[in-house]
Formats: sequence, structure tokens, C-alpha cells
Amino acid sequence: MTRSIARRTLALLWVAALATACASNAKSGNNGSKTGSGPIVIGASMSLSGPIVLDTIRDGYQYAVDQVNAAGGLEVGGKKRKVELKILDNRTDTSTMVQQVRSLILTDKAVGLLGSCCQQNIAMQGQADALKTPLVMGALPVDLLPKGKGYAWDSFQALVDGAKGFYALAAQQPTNRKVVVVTGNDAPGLGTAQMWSGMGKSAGFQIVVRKAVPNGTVDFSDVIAAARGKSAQILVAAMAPPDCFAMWKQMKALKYAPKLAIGIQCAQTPGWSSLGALGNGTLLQMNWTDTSGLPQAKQIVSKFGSKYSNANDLASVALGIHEATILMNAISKAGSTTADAINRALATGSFNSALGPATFKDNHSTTPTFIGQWEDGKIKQVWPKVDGLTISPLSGLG
Amino acid sequence: MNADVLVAGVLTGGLYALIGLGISLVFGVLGLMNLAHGEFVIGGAYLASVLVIGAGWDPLLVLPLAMLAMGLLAYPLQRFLLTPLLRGGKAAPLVATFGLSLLAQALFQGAFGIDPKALTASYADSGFSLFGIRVQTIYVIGFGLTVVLCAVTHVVLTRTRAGSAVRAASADPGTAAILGINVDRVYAFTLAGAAALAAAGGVVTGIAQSFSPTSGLPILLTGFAVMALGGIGSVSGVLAAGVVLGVLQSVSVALFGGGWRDVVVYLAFFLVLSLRPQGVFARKAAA
Repeated sequence: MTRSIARRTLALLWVAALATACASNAKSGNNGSKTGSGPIVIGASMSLSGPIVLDTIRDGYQYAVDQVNAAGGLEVGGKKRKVELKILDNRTDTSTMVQQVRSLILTDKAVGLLGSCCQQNIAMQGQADALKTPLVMGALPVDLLPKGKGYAWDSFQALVDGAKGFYALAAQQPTNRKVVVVTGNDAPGLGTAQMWSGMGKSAGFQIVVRKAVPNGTVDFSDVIAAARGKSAQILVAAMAPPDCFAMWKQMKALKYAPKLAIGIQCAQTPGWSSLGALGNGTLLQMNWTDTSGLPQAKQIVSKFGSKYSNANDLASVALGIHEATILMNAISKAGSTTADAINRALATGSFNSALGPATFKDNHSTTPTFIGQWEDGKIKQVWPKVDGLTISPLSGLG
Repeated sequence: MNADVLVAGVLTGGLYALIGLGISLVFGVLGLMNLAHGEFVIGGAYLASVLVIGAGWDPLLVLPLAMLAMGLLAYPLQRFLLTPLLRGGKAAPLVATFGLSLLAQALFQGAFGIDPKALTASYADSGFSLFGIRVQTIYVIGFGLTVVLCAVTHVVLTRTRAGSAVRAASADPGTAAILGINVDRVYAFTLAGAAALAAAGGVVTGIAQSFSPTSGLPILLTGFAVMALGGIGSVSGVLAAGVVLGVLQSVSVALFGGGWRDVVVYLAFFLVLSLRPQGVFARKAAA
């Protein structure tokens, strides 16, 4: 009798466990993502809190997906299917990102991934390769993407194009062609210094001062004295924003006024406007502008201009649209939701989106680069030249 | 290396001393490492930014208000959170200040966003010649403010009844309580005072440099280095240590390059901790 009850209990427990497993699978509702019945799931583990907040890129992802769904869905193998975008906040923590990517692929059955930003994208590349799932990313200059196993696709601008554009612009300005290069002393900073110095020399400029400073430097008197001593009239600064803020204030106070200055990385923050008039005239490298003539530029301004007043924020929205559009078009072109088919479509296809045409070679697709200039809290495009927009003097430091 | 670099180091050191003073005060009186001190500094800058960026007030006019506001925020934190925890040992309040630091960062981010901000003023990026050396006005103002606040702190601690109570509570809280000193209140006033000093440092930092929700950690590390060099609870030692740290940084960068700045500073820090744990200036400054 006791044995019989025990058997029944065990059987009941087994049935309950089976039912729970089925319910859990049904709850995720994504079994169909890969099989052709339900919505197609695209996953993204992004930094939406912590030191980096990518609200703008997330908005771009969502906008692109909403557009596709509003048109009836994504056509895959002759059938329209809705797209479900699952975005998780990894709080700028790489370990969390790794877990979330696994969960998106293994539990949510995401057929493709969209990137986060910067260093995290490199870490995500390893996960995409390990789990053999296509990952389309931006926000990582294509020169910095390591060679992987072929599942990560980077469509963004190249650092080298920013240097080319800047020196092309500088060559047209009345300067003595003497350049001071100040960067962080970490590996990316030293790499940037080397690249910008080399490009400058090739373009006929003389690098008279090259300094590498640790992150968090607040006293630049040594750099300023050296630049003044060598009469450098062009400043290339690649540092974290707080360091540039301190340096710009100190340059003005110590009356060192170069004729041209570019803030790589640091002047790209919308916070640059809080420098007030001091920030006027500073140049920056951009991946999109509202005068770029890129597809959907007007649409992006009209849809997101009231939420994001800064051109760099809008550029990030455009980047998000670009990445999501490439991935969805690749799925459509593949005619299948299998990873290998999507990967083949990415390798061989030509795509066109908010950052222009994208065709991948060795998993890279370089998007256009622009040089912008800060003026009264706004950014205008000064290279390539646009009718009606001209470069202004570096009045903030003058 | 020229005199400009040395003078810039001295003036930057003044700001370091202002940041280190509050840490030293809290550790000297409460025996507590306040890991949220960097956020007190940044909190002062953010509070000031509300009136400076939002309403166009001059940052130096806002400075006393920011000090008062940070003091008022810190008082109940000590009275109702940290002091009860202190009764159970030093570990719990240490962890609590770490938690406060993370909480403050999240609050700053939620309220003000992640982009760096700066407090604009005419003296933020202006300069003048001092004995033929070009100096940045805000650092001269900051140095003067540090000297004044150090002097006031020293006078309050050594020449007033409140200061006697603080020193008594610091030396032997049990006996101080028997003598009728409200030790809990003394502790709360001490943290409030340290927070007010931090806020002053935050406003100067905001004018001279910039701040963001995560700026507190490097500020905290600088403050710790100043405290260790200067001697715990020593006001004049902290001022001297701040200046020495600023000069060490500037000179090491000028002589060896930027990569050596932190190496030289932290080497000095460890040497002092090993050879003279009470601080380089502790004896001279003993009140």
C-alpha cells in the first residue's frame, strides 16, 4: 500500500515536472522563432545603466523593428513574420552580458544579435562565435574589431578616416602645420597617438609634441608649456571627456590658443555643451550628421529631434537603425532563420540603411565619416563640405 | 621643467587638500573610512549645478549653500545609520558607506544623466600673471579657500567648546559620554562638517574641471593619499600633504612623462605607509 502511494506520488511529481517544463517553454513563446511559425526573435544585451547608457542606440533598434512590423513583418521564405526585439540591460557589466547573450540564444531562441558598444562589443564577438549566432554591431570602429570566427559583423566608421578627414580640413586652414598630439597612456590611447601622428606626417604636417597622460589628469601645464614652446597651432586630443574639460580650461587660462583643435572621444559627449563658449570651435569625428545626405536623415530628425537635441545622440539613433536594418535584411535575404544562412547572407549581401550602403569584407563594413564643429552647444558638419556651412575659428580658446 | 609646472602643482595640491580634509576629519574622529566621500564631493557639485546651470547663479555664491545642503544631508546619515552601525564594529559602517557611494552614483545618474557637466564662470578659464608666472584663477581661488577652510577647521577643533567635545569623543567616546558629551551628536556634526568641506571641494572641482556620476572614485583615492601622507586628523598636515602630492604629480609628469604620474605618487604613498604610518606631517601638526 505504502509502495503504491509512493509510486503514485512519484508519477504525479513526474507529470507536474513535465507540465512545468512545457509551460515554461510555452511561456517563452519563442520555439517558433527558429522553426518558421512564431515571431522572429532578435536579441540585444546592452549597457542601459551604469557608466555607459545606450538609450539612443536602443531607440534606433526599436524604431527599425517597429517599422518592419508596421509593414506586416519581415518576409522570410515568402512568408511575412513579425519581429520580436528582446533587449536586456547588462548594466555595463561584461559578465552579465555574457550570461544574457547565452540566455537570449539558448532560452529565447534569438536568431541574431545586435551589439552594445565599445569594448563590450569585442567581448560579445567571442560569445557570438562560440554560440554560432550572427551578431551585427556598430559603435566599435572597424579598425578595432579583432579577427574572430566569422559570426560578428561590424558596420561603423574607421578611426583612420577621421584622421584623414581632419588633416584634409586642416590643410585648407591657415596654420603653421605644427601639431601637438595628446592622448591617454593606455593601449587605445597610444594606438590613436601613433595612427594620428603617422597620418599627420603623411599629410605634410609636423608632429612637434606628442604626450601620453594617464586617465584622470587635471594638470596639463607640462603639455601646454611644450606645445607653446614648439609653437604648435593644431591640437589633437584623444582623452576621456573630464580630462579634455580640464585641459581646455587650463589652455584658455594659460593663454595657449591653437588655431585648430579636435577632441577625439572627449568632444563627442553631448556634455561638451556644458563648457559653454569655451567649447566653441572644437572639432569632432562623427558617424552621421543631419546634413550628411544619408538615407532617413530627415526622418530621424523629425522622429527623434525633440527627444535628443544633440547631433551625436541622433547619430547613435541612426547607428541603431542601421544595425537592426542590416540584420533584418540579412534574415530576409537568407530566406531562413538558421544561423549559417543568415551569416552567409551577411557575407554576400549589399545593404542600405541609415548610415549608407554596407557591404562586408572580412566582417567589416566601413560607414562614412564626418568632421563636425561645436558652435553654441550645437554641432555643424564642416567636412566633407556642405553648402552654407563653413568652419569657424576656434573662438572658445582664442 | 619650468616654474609654471611647479606652481600649477602647488595650486592643484590645494584642491587635493580640500578633498582630503574631510576624509581625515572623519577618520580621525570616528575611526571610519568614509568610502562615500567622493560622492559627497560630486554631490556638492551637482547641488551647485542646479542653481548655476539651472538659474545662472555664480558658482562661488552657491558654494556656501552647497556646503550647507551637503552638511544637512550627511547629519541624519551619521546619526541614524552609521553611528548605530559603529556600535557593532567598524566593518558594517565601512560597507554601509560603500553602499551609500553606489546609491549616490545611481541617484546622480537618474537625476542628472551620465554626461559630464562643468560649472561655468568667468574665472573658470581665466588666468593672470603672478610674479611672472601664468596661473589659472580658479586654482588660486581654490587654494585660498582651502587655506581658509583648513584654518577654520583648526580653530574650531582647538579653540572652541565644540572642538573640545570632538577631540574628547575622538580620544575616548566612553569617558566623553560619562562627562555629558552627546557623542552621537558629535559624530553626526563631524560627518556633516566633512560633507560640507567635500561640497566645497566639489564646487571648485566643477568650476576647474568637470564631474559626472562616476567621478567620485578617483577623487576618493586622491583624498586617501592626502590623508595618509598628511597624518590622520592633522589639519595642517593635510594641507601640506595636498601640496606635496600636487607638486609630486606635476614634477613627475614633467621629468618622466605622464605614465609615471601615478607610479611616483603611489610609491610615495606606500613608502609613507611603510616607514611613517602616522603620516609625514603628523608630529608637526599635532594639536
